[in-house]
Amino acid sequence: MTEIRVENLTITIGKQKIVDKFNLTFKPGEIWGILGANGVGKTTLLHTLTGLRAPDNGKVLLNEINLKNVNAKKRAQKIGLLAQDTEFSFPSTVFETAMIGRYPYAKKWFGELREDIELINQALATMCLTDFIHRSVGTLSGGEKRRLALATLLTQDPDIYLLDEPTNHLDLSQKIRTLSLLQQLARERHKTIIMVLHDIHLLRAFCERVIVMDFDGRCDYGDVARMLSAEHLSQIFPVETLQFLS
Amino acid sequence: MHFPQLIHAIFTKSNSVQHEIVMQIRLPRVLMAFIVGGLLSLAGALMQVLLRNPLADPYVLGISGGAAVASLLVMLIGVFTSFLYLWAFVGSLFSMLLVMSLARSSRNFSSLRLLLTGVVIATGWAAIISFILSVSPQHNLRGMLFWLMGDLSYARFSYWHLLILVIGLVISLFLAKPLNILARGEITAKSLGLNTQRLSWLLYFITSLLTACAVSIAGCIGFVGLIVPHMLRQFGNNDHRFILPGSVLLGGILLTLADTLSRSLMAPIQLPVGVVTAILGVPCFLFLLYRGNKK
Repeated sequence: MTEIRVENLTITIGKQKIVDKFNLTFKPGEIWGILGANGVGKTTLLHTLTGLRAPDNGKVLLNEINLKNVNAKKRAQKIGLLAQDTEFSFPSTVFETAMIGRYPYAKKWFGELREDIELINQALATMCLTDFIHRSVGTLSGGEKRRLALATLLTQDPDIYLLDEPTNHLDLSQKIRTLSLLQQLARERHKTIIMVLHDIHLLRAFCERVIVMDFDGRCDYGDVARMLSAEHLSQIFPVETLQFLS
Repeated sequence: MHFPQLIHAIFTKSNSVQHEIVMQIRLPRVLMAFIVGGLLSLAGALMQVLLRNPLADPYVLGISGGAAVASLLVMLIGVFTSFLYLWAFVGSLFSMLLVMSLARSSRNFSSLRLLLTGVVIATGWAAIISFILSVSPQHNLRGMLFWLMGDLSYARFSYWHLLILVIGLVISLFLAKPLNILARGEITAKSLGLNTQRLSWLLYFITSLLTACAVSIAGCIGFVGLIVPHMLRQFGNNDHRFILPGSVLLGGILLTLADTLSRSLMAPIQLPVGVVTAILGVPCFLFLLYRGNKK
């Protein structure tokens, strides 16, 4: 089981402080939501937690080891990122795309291990993509591409799932299916789920704890009921948005 | 020369004219055509992943422009012309280092910045080439134009070029799996544990060397580096463990065929091979594009 902890984490872009002296421990099996206005730095925070970006100050610790000292492949075995957008510039099949999730474990130059192939098939089945296995990625719809990106992350099988708007392009039933699956991963396999979500209803239904980010670099966090109370939400959203929500 | 005569000429160690023609002129040229085709196609396949653009070719970053300017200057001045390939190589390396140093910003590799820098430098070289052509005397122009269009008639077989192709292919094959990951985008590749910075600079360095080597032998032969990896991808092969050796093989064969056509289509007049590759490449590329859209 893997624990990720941030200690005095400070992230700046230019002169803007995205995160200022943030301290928090994400324990195995927890489901966290990240909420904040557009451009507040949610993606940057996720990238820092993944190790794609070095913090400007403070540390990200993976099982008490500074993330910058962890070998990149070992890190990818523990932390997986679902990026906000996925590039599909080159033609490839659904199976080939899902296969890249096994890269951090790759031992052989040629051929894939039988366990890897089983895992890929399983992940594609979980995301209802078995029928598309030999289809070219270019022919998939936006929602199918998103499910494929999620299947690739399942193939990677990390301990910590960092998901940047995982429900983008998904229809309502696929949204519920995907979030239920993540909930199941946290409960049954003690995976840590940290995801950026914009939908308050989905946050309430699927997350246990929420981080609310603001433009001053503050990251307020706590129990979902408290963080998504009218009082807290009024600090993020304008009155007309809250009227619509209620 | 018919096929049995060809076989006879190769395996008969006599001083016959046919033996000399085959061993001293034809065979070295065929081998060099294969090597240049292989170098360009391999460089094209690598460049397409480096820039995450299936339409990139080995010349897009101005490597050939540097080589062309150096070679044309030597032709214009008229000294050291027997070391033309060496000047072309020096010119390519200079262009490569220029683009690299301008594109490098705070240790972060950005494929867009590299592409823009390369394209701007290539445009600069094109302007200098036009200037040299416009001030060159008439008797130099034909040689210069042949070189610019790509020509194998002065290519001499050298083990060095073969060695560079083999080393380039071996190194690229070691990078094949990481290339499959990088093709899916930088953020995904980084999150899967790939050092994209190191890989990108390495790719840039290898493609530049391969291109410089090809340009120094035969000038700027267009379309091979663009179309061969693209053809392999269109035929459903997306794994670089197949695309890279496939590109060398197919690129080598295509350029050898194109060179044979360039010598025989309007014999005794020899066409620059770059003209043949472009004439064949344009319809071929359009066909693939049309076929791809219909899929």
